Amino acid sequence: MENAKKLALHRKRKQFVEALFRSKMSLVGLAILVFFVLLAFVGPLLYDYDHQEYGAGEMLEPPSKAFLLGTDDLGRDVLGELIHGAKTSLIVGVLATLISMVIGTVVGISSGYFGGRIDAFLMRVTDAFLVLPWLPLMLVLAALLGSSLWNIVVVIGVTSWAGTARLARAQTLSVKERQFVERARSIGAGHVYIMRKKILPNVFPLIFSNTVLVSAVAILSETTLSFLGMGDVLRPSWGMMLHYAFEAGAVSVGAYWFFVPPGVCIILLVLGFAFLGHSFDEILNPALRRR
Amino acid sequence: MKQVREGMTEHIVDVRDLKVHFEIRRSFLDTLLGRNKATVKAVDGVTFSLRRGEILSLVGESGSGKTTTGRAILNLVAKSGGEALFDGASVSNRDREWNRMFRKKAQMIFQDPYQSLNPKDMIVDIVSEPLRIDGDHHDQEELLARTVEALEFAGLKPAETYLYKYPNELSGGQRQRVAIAAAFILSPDFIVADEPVSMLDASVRADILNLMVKMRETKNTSYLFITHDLSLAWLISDRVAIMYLGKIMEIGSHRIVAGSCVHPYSRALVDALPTMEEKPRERALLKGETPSPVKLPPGCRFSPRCSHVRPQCTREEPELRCVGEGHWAACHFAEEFLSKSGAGDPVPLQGEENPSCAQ
Repeated sequence: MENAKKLALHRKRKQFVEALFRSKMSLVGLAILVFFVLLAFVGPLLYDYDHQEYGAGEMLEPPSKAFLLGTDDLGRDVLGELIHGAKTSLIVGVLATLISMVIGTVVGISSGYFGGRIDAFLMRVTDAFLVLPWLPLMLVLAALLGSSLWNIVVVIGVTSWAGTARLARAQTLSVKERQFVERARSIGAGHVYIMRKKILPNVFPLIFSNTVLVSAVAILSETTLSFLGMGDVLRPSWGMMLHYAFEAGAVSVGAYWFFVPPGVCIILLVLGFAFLGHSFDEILNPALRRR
Repeated sequence: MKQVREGMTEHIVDVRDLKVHFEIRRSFLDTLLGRNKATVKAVDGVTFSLRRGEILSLVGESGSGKTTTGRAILNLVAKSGGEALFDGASVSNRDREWNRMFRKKAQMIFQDPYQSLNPKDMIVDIVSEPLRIDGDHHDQEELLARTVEALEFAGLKPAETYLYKYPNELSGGQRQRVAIAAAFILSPDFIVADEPVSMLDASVRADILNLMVKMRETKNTSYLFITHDLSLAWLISDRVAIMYLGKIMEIGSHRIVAGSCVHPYSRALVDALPTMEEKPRERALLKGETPSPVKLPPGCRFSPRCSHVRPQCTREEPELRCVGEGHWAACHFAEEFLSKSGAGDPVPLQGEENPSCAQ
């Protein structure tokens, strides 16, 4: 029995992957993400670099054979910093998004499903998170918790779930009126069972495609926090590089090799997530599908 | 037919003066102007009972409250008044054990097989779901065996080809068979069938209806069969109740549909049925639209559309009363129409003690 079931699930997944590979946009997004994942997790193994080794070269040395992307204000190899920084950006992006997605989905589905006072309460909390200027909130939280990588993940996660919650609630409101939910009630299913087995599977595609977009925002948030000096000093990250480039006045002395590479990497990574999110949306959300 | 076991009530379902009212949400403007809250009286005092193994059809136009009645009996919608009893206990009681039993013994088949199956669940999960959540432990093999059995009973053979499909891979008729298999898997005592064939092709209808009748013959299942189709009600049921705007207008053996009905509303419905006769008969057709259930007319709720309306009708609301053997109608002049229809001598008004008046 289990085999036949797995086969059917496999068939469904295959259809999804095929649709993904048909669209050029998702292919480009996928290629960018694969490139950065390789850069982040295989790169450090191939390219030897120590974040705390100052003075490997001269200060702000332009690109040369020894340092392909030049050196920073402390004489560190910019290419090495870039490769080792990719991991931070990706980890923060994925984990913070995961936290944000879980909170948003739980809040949104319970809010939409139960309605009434629970809905009113949860939605006011959501509204509060939506209207609070997120940057100061993040700064305050980061300052309170201290600036370690994990704290930054948590801070970004708990400040970015409001949009997902709204989305999940809206979809839940429409799904819960459908007859299969009433059928589940008529056979004695409990609330948790209905939310988990009937509502979630029907809300999930929408949340999932949104999630990929949220991770782009999460990566930018990490960059912003690091740029403003709230990042984890012990771990290189692209935002941190921009922060040091700014402090060292790299722009005014024309040391383009210090700030252009991390900037381009951030833009590309965010673009990759955005492309993928957009094509997920198109595949999973039939209303948007081109005919 | 199975004997009534000891300790069991004679009626599996007893509905007494059941009311379901919905409050309409007021707009901001209404609140400002101080308008009163409006209530829709979807079900407004319905009384009937269902014997074990009996099929009772609830017939009415859309908006007559027949589906809401069915949902209230299964406690899927909160009642505003009256009582619905299942096996002698109120369906809205909160006893856990009783509720577990109730959800196993009473099932519902929905009208639209495109809406009532979760598109994300495989057929095997849909059909075995009642078993998986009934609180008893069943092992995988038993689940699968019973699912296959239920699917084959519902006419999906061989069941193996359907088990791992999704609803969108099946046709409407096949989906309704899946819904029926899921309703039958626990061998329920009572099924509310809400227009189970109205969305299906004529060729599939007969099969589905036969299945339901077969279930009654083997398991003595009782049905509340909700339909707007009089001829279908006549065909399948033992008794027929005709509803109009939340109330039962007439209830009796299925023969009332074939012509012995006394209520002008039932008469109008029967006359609206197409016939194969060559010469057109005299028809009492309905005029106008169903009034809004928010603002019911005074007196008899059918009076604005009735072709026999008299002054008394707009003053007093007629009660449902016995007019013949097991035959009840809510019309002031039921006896008169009864003698006209020639279906038998009118029974003078009698108390409920009269055995011929038992519902």
